Amino acid sequence: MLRQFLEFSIIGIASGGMYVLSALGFVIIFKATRIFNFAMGEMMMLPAFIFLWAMATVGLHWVLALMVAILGGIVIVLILERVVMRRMIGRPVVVLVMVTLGAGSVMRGIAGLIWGHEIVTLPNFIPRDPIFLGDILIPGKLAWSFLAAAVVAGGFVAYYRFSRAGIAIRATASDLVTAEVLGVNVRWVYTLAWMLAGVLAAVAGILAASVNGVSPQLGFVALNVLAVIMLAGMTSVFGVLVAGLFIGWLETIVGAYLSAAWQSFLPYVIVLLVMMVKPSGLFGEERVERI
Amino acid sequence: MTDLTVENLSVVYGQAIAALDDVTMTVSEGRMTALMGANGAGKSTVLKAISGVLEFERGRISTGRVTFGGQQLNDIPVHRRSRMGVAHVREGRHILSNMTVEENLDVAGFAAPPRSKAETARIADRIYGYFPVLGERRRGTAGYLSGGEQQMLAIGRAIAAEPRVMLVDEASLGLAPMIAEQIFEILGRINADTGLTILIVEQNVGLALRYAEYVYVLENGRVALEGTRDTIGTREEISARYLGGDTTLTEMA
Repeated sequence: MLRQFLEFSIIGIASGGMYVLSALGFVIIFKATRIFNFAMGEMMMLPAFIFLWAMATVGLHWVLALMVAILGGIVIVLILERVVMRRMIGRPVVVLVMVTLGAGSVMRGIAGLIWGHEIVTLPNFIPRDPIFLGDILIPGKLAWSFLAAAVVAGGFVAYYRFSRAGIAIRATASDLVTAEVLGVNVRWVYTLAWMLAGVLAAVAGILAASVNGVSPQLGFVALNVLAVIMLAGMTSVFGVLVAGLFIGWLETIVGAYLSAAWQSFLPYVIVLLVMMVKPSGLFGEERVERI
Repeated sequence: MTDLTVENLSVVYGQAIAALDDVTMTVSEGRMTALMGANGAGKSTVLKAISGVLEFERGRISTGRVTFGGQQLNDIPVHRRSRMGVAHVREGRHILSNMTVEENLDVAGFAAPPRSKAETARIADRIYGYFPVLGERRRGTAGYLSGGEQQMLAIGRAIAAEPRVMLVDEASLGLAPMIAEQIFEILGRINADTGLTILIVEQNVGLALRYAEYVYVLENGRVALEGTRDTIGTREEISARYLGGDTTLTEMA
């Protein structure tokens, strides 16, 4: 009984790894540019298709295919940022939301035109042999995916926290005019934030596709990520790490002990309750101000 | 010559509101210059036109030019001006409140060529020398500093960029007289020690006249008076004539 619960818990936390990656992508763009990017799911989906194409059609080794997919993801994001989003900075929030939703639809449409609308399974590239922690069994695919997500998320957090570029992003997030006055090229920070989100989304998309296959609808998985971001607070990198794993865990536990029907909405009930008590999310930065 | 000059400068906000009208002034290298005037006279706008911050406030230079060290700044983006050595301590301090004191100083490093760790530490120590309280709280969140400490951090952060000219907007605003005096005393020391060119906007006439060698007084967007501290007149005369006779601005002589 306890062993089963632990097994479900570990599986749940592991599946939260993908949430963490895409939620980090949301948060980094929001922090740097104040744009809430509803095209995040499509930024996951397109690189997953590119990965599939590079591996299955071109015949590349999965490592090379992964690099091609990440590069492709970055190029797509740069086009989106340079052509569309940069012109939108400072516009009303509702306009930004509509523009990212629109961009997402266009990206889904293009993917459908090129690759069709069926769910396609990725070739196997992640070892499937189960891994045992003591006598607890974790499916191999999930364990390796989680490890990959942990490495990428860890690298991102270290970069954000300690690099010179990370300081520039944090300064811009705090006060963009001040950052610019202090010598930070804020336009470069915007581009960098989008590119980082592009890399996070590409890895998250490929991990999601490796478990559930890829179709133009893959991006809808990012909607679950909204729960993670709301729970974490829109601006908290640390909060996203905790909330992503928690929502992954909660979904799996609810799915295992209640039913899939509960699984689809119970996390949102929790999020709503948290938001009622603490509107800035559990870890959201409340502005520190002393008058 | 790295004089800072403003020539025939007119600035409008939005499409219509004229804030400056044909302002010409020179901030000589190595000198502390003060810019005074009543509320709305256009003092802050002069600083914003120099640093470029106008562009973030829907303002633009309609005629005239700003030059620094012989180079025209008008069309240069704000971050590049700061890399050329123009530091702007804006009114309201604008510290990065969720970051630590140390990180606030680190951000200013973007305005300077890349530095080694030792170099960064040396510059931070120099700033902590001027403002010991910042050194004591270097790992503390900047948002929890007191108003005076935040003003010190804003000035210290500008110095961390090792600028060639520093613009300081209303450094004494909202501070206890003793703290304001202390901040001006340190500005004077920095100017004397390093020869850093400083342009201050200040409503406290007594303070400004004590520390600045040269003074400009703005009235309705135009230069109404200029001169050295010794020739420009007493603080009472300046207050009565240009600042609406508000003696509270002069009481801490």
